[in-house]
Amino acid sequence: MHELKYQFKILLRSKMLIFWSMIFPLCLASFFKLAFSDLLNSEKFESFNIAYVEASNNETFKNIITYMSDDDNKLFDVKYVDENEAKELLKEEKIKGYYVVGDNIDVYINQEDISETIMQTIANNFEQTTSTMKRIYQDKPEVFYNGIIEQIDLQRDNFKEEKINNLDMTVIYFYTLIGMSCITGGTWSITVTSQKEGNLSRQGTRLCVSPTSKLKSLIVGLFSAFVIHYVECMILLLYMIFVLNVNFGNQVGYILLLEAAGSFVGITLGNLVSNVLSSSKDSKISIFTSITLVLSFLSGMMGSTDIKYLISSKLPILANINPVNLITDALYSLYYFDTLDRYFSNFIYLIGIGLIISVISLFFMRRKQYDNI
Amino acid sequence: MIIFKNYLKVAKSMMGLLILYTGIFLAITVININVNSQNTTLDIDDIKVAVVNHDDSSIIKDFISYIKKETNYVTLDENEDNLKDALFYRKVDYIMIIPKNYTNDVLSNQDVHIKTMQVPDSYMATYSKELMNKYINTAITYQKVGIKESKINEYVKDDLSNQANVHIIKKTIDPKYNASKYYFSFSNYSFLAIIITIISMVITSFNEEKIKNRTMISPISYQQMNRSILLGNVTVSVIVWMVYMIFAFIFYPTVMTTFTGCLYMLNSFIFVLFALMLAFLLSRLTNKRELISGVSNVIALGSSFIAGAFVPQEMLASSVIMIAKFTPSYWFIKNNELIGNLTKYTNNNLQPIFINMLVMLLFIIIVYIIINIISRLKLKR
Repeated sequence: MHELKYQFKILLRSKMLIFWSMIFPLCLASFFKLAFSDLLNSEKFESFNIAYVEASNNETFKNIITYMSDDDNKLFDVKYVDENEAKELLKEEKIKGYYVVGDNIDVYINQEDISETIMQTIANNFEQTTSTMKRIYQDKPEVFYNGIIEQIDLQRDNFKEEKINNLDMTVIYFYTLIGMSCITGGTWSITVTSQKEGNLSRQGTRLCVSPTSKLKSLIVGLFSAFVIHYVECMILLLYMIFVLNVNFGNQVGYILLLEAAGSFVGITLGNLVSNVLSSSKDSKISIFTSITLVLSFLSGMMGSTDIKYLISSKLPILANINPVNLITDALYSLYYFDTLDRYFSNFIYLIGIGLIISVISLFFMRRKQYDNI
Repeated sequence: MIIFKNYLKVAKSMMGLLILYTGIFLAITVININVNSQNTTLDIDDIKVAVVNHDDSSIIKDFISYIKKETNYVTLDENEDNLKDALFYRKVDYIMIIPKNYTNDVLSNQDVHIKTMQVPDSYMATYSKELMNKYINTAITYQKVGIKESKINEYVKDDLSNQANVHIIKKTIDPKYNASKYYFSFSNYSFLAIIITIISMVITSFNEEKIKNRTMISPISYQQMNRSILLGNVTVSVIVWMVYMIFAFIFYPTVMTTFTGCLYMLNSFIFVLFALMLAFLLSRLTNKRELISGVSNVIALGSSFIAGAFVPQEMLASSVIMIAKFTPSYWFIKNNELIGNLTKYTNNNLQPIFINMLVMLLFIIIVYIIINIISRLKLKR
């Protein structure tokens, strides 16, 4: 108990660690929010202005355009003008484009973009329907008299959309950030183990020659690192939920459980790096940070969601041994899927990795002996 | 010279950093080249469609071969998780699940539908729906009026090949220019991160108490020392800048050998100067290495996010853009955008580009003034 208290005090005094493991993710999360706040809207339709120039009368097409511009299915606002005026409007970019309608339809636009595509699709649709009707009239003129033509519906909607919610892809960035910050906990355990190692710090030297149990002091150290780090992760989570309004679904309990597992893997991974390498504390931390960054990159942070998808569909093994990816995927499955199967499979992999790492690092730790320092 | 040489020696020890950042940068650039090489316009071959088929009528068979040929067809396993994953990561815009006997049921006027999965209200999905409906409706119409099954596919294809005439008034931009734009805007991150870290780290190592005292008693004058360090700063920045320009030439040779390329280079050079000044300022403010690496990361990432290096400026909220205007990154990235969109090198087109460069220079001057004030204050103490 006594030792635990001092361990906390020592750890909380290292401001740099707190910066990297807490303030930095908080900053990143805020940047994400700022950058992505408008992203989803860019996928959506917005109505725009067009003009209609009548070269000769084409009642059918005019009806279609009127239909598309009424309030119920508003695609665009239409102005009925002459050609010169339309040209002028287009030049001043007051409209996205205009139709010149005669027997054929001409589309005039400034540049190729979404609104152009819509205008073109409507015109194409008209031309294609005309062509179909003409062909039927040539090949089977009788259908126009025997009533079959009445049964034809060229505008039938063949599709029924399955309602799918929670398709906001930007949440992935926040999820990877949580994954990354869980794993960053390793920097805490590197600090702890460095304190315990004879060749890295004075305390370590003293500890090595003292008759106390090394295992006990290490476990106490790692435990306090875990507690501090877990609290940090929760602060990050709360900040995301309440300040940034990131959508996490409704299962907060599972998220907290996941974060605990994530912090555990982070702490053990840091411990492993610390035990395998025999360099100074700073270089251990920088190597560890690079590892975390690579893992996060593979999980879709830094705009690399394509890579994440590629890995999980083509190389699932790599996805399943990457703790950052496991945490991201578990959060994603809580947000997107109704069942918990995928969450639990990620969770079990995560715990498994933590245990394997612990065993390996125990193996390395036992071999540490110093002839002299 | 001794100090300059020493400077480079210390800087050389940080080569790993340059390689790491450049490596990540290049990896992302390569991904971006693949993603952004498409035009901004939508065509049938841009939409990503997947089909799960349970109907074996010839109309649907022809329909699927039409999709495979015309659209960007995505093969997916029929597995709920798989389909939903692909949709979430926007690997597919439109998933159609065609039920058994669909064609026959429609022909007998039953109320049946093809189930689809899509991003609600997205224009990609709306566009796909439009095109897919067109094919199916036309084919079924032909079947209804009694046209021979073997002819249907040919007729439908012929109908669908009818296109309205499109006239584009303004000239559009070569997609290569578009991709180069992203390359330069993205370099905002690497320039800031690399230059600030290397330069301020080197300067701090010269500023360490013992080393500083040693140089102070040496016969090298204060001015000489400062000049050498400045020379070192400039050398490092120019080297970093050149590395990125060389890669730009490798990736976009056609763009870089035009006047547009020169503008890109000038623009990024001014930005590199700013990064250098900022690094200098940071090293004046603090001597703690860890603090510097933290601050440089926050600055590099933060400006990249809010000024549009990672997410294009037109997709940012207007409030974010307002904040971003207080960073030179905004003007740098905006300029890359303007340069990439240049079609003619007229005065009218070039003027805003040069004005933005002036704004960046203004930032450099401001930072320079701040550095001077701080140095004064420090000397007084």
